[in-house]
Amino acid sequence: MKRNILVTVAAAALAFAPAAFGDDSTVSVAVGPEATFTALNATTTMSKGNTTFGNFGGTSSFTYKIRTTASGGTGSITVALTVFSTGGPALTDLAYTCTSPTSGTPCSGSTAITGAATPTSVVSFGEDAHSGDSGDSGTAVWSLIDRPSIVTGTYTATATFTISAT
Amino acid sequence: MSATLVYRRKCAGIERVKRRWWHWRWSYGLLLVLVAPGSGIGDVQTTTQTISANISPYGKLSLPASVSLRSGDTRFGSNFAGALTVSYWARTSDAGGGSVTLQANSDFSPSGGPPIGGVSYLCSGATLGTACSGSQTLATTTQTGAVSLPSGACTGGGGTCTTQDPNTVLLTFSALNKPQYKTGNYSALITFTISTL
Repeated sequence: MKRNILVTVAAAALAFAPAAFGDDSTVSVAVGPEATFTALNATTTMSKGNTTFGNFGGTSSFTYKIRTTASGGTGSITVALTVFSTGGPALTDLAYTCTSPTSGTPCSGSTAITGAATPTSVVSFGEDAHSGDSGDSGTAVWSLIDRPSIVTGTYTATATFTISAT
Repeated sequence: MSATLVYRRKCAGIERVKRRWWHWRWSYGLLLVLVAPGSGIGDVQTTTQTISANISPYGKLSLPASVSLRSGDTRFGSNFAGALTVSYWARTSDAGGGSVTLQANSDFSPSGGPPIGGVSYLCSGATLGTACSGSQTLATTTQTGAVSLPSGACTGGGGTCTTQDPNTVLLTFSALNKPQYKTGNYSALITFTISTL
């Protein structure tokens, strides 16, 4: 005689798991060379302390931040000038000296301007150069020959500073 | 032949017919019984068993293998930044809760770059639970929060559970871009943990 047995299943889907589960991810930071420059005065006014044809003088102050590549990197701050307005001094009568903190090497001695739009060095940087986190300060101290042939008046030229880092 | 004998012969014949009829009836009936299928005949026994399942709190994570923080320009104009989406599955008990946390295994390697404590993050868009509020700072000694899970939480399926499966939360990381850091690539392992009660 056959016997059929039916089993009724009351529930299913059993799952047991730990109460905590962890997974990892790697966070990475890519630090590259960077540089930024800020002129502290939009206009540098050349003046003189006498009326006996001594040179005109003036100081352009600036701050900068820089980071050059740890191995083989370089950097620089250069300046290039346009000619003075009509009737004014010749660019070749203009020169400058430089100061900067130890993050870079300032130009050595007096640097004469040789021509318009020709960049000349203000500060140079080697590999693994770092300014302070809030920036470093530097100056270009100008000197302009006062020639009697120059007609009285106000003459302007534009100085363009450029910072770079590799 | 006498009438009595004829009558007796008739009765005997009738009896023989009767006997043959019953014999045929029993034979074929028995045959029917023997050859008929057993439908409607047999034993059925039902046995029930109770199977119970204890559904416990549960959590699971899935992460990208890495997140890279990069500067937005080369002029110290922006911090190092990057984002990571954490996927998670969670089930918490009616009286419990849970969390998703993270902790740095160590400082950045190699040295010379930003410190791990200089990395902060914001949480947003948690599809289950509450994302961390405000800026958080990575640490190597403690876990910091990403998501807080409520009681009775469950991932996927809709109804009392979320429709999203998995659930996700976005973490946006940031680190100050300081000139003092040496150029190079720095990395650290971050462990994310989901806990459920």
